[in-house]
Amino acid sequence: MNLPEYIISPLAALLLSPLLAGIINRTKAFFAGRKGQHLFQVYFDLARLFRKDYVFSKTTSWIFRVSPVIIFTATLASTCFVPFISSGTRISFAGDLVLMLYLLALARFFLIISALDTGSSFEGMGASREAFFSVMTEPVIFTCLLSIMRANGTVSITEALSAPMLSDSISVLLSALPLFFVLLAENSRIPFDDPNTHLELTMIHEVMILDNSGPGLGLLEYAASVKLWLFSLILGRILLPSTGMSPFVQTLILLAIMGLIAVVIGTVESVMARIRLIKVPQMLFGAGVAALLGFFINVTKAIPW
Amino acid sequence: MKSDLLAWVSLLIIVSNLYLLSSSRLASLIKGVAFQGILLGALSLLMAGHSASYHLIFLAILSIAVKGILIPFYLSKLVRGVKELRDANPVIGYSLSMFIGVVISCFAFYILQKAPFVHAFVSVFHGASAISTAGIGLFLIITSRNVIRQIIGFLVFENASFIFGLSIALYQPLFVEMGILLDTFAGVLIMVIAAKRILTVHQSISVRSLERLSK
Repeated sequence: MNLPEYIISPLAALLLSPLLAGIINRTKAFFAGRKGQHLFQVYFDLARLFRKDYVFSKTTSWIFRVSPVIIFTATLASTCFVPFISSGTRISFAGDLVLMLYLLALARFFLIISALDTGSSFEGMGASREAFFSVMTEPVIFTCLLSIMRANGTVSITEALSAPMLSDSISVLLSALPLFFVLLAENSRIPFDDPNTHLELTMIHEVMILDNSGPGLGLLEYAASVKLWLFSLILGRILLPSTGMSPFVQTLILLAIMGLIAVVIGTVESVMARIRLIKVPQMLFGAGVAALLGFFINVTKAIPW
Repeated sequence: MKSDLLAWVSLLIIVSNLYLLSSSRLASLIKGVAFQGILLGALSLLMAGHSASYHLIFLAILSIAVKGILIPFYLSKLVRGVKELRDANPVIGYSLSMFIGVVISCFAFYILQKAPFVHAFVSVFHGASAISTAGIGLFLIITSRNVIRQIIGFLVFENASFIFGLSIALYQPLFVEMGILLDTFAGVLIMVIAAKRILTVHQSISVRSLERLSK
């Protein structure tokens, strides 16, 4: 295990990320009383898509063709900053949080303009919603991760997430709960967007990839699952208990926590309905408020109890 | 461990404040304030665990009974079934008032660093929850168009003084606290009767309708 962390983490994301979606699907099937699809179904779907051929609409330009590649690589690159096994060498510098989140923003930007490039008003609507929601989610992620960095006394997100995590349960809750909401919103999960619908006026992520086909669609689906993996990895890192364990045991516990997060997502999707579009900003605002409170509690923690 | 639990309960009080600011139905406002009353009881129970005194345990039971059950029950009896009494309808929108609530809470944490009376409180969270509850209670009163919401603001403000008082509750006779609780209850009783009168006279519970009284 002498591979540097910035190789292990993307590799793990590549190999294991479709599994998370599989766990979510199985949980939903369990709640619905179905047998459910195979745990590795997402892998099979991806393999099938990569064997297929491209079909391009005549309205689209080169932007539409290059976007899936950029989206996938930018998302994958952002996983370099979140350590998977905490022992390896890492790339970390002051303010790497900004780079990580802006890589995700770059992916989102290309997703939006490739959706606009198809010339379909339907996709434009989804793109507009995606842009709007990201305005709401980005401050929340920044606040949550800043408060974690503050609690660990570092200016690098990689360092903050690979250090033994917070012992203070209030800080953990006040950064993990908003992050979970952001995870649901950013990955178009149910209270914010339904990942299963295809013909509904309120969908967001699914509508933007409607015109993609074959390997392009495969890359976009893959990027979506890597993004889900990234967010649950951050969340898992925050929730990881900070006792002195060997890196191997720690990674196993981390994986268990991430599996649990996937089960929780599946449960949320099974017991909740999608909220109205008007309610989304309010919900994300509430998450932001909690994150802000956590940040200030962290800042003012200099007082002795 | 005890003070950790105390911090959790104090945090829950702050969260319940924010919930009060964000809820749009009077029924949920009443539920929120009832929950806060129960939290106050839990807070004084935890304090009792700190100092092993029956005084505080009695206070806890009393505050749960009055603030968690009696007053909310009375208020919800007024609200139930009256259509005009459904929406909270504040002057400032829910998101903005929630944001202001967070600013008030952050300010509470900040001011505690500067204040000379930090050590009167059991923990930072305890002090901050008292200050933020006071601020948010006043804010609820100021921004209401609705008499019931003003009553709830008054209750929240009173809760703040209860939290403040908890840190010195050991050193004062129980009668003081009991008197305060009785006063609160009597105050709410009178306010609700007044609100009923306003409703029957004006067919609305809005403060605005009182402006017409001048003639």
